[in-house]
Amino acid sequence: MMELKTLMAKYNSFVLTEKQNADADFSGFAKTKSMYNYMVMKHKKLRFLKALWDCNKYWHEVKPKYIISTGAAFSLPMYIVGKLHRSKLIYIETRAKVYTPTRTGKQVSKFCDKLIVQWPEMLEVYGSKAEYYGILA
Amino acid sequence: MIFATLGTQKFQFLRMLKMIDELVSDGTIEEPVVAQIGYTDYKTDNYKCLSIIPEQEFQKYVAEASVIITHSGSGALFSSIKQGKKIIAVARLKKYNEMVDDHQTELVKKLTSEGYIIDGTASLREAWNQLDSFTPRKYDFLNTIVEVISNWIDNDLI
Repeated sequence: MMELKTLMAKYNSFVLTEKQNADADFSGFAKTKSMYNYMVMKHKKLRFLKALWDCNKYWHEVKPKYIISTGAAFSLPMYIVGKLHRSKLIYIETRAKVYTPTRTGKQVSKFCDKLIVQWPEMLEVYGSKAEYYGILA
Repeated sequence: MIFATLGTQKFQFLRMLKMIDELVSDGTIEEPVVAQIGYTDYKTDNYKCLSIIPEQEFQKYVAEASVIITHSGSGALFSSIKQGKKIIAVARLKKYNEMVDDHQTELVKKLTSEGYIIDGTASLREAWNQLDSFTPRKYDFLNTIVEVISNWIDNDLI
């Protein structure tokens, strides 16, 4: 996500991040908010519902026109909420995987507006919807 | 100086630190080693261990190191490739409880086959022995994602 700083500098941006993410410093680029650490909740359905609830609350605070993520954590609930409110969804599959899809990627690819992959190999994995423009590195 | 890094995952990654220890003990690694070990509990007299360090300090160690030995996290890998370093990557494996799955093997496999890094997952010693004859491929990745997204937004193409 740090590689997207240029985008954040150009447009009015908001960053939703995991609390324990020590590396994330977007100060000067975007308003940042840390989400609850959902992993402390053992009950998966409750955890997902809480994440949906929180994401929905956050969506109303920000009303984003576009949602961009490289996946994992609460990105799936955020994309679901965004879809319901007609935000445009750009999903970037992580650069950490080369040959097989992530769980978030499999889900989000079904309904996102743009699907970007970071390795050419992933074009075959995701089929015609996927687009490749290099890697965020 | 050799810089080793395990990232900030909650999972222990003793295997890599032990492999380094062996190479220091028997004199294969002669230069001093500094290791950023995150949440892994490990103590050794053979090299300096730091838990988690700020990004700037991390980049400084990468810049000063002659060789980087790293878990196969994309952050550590790409920043080291960017700095043109000789890199040995060790993938965290599920069977040793080093990660929830084996996804780190994908990036090691890809970057090794393209000549950016050396794969040390099976044996750090074998990887170390390849170092002298290894010239890392320069950072040459296509990187136009931000431009493309910017164009979509500016021209309302989504």
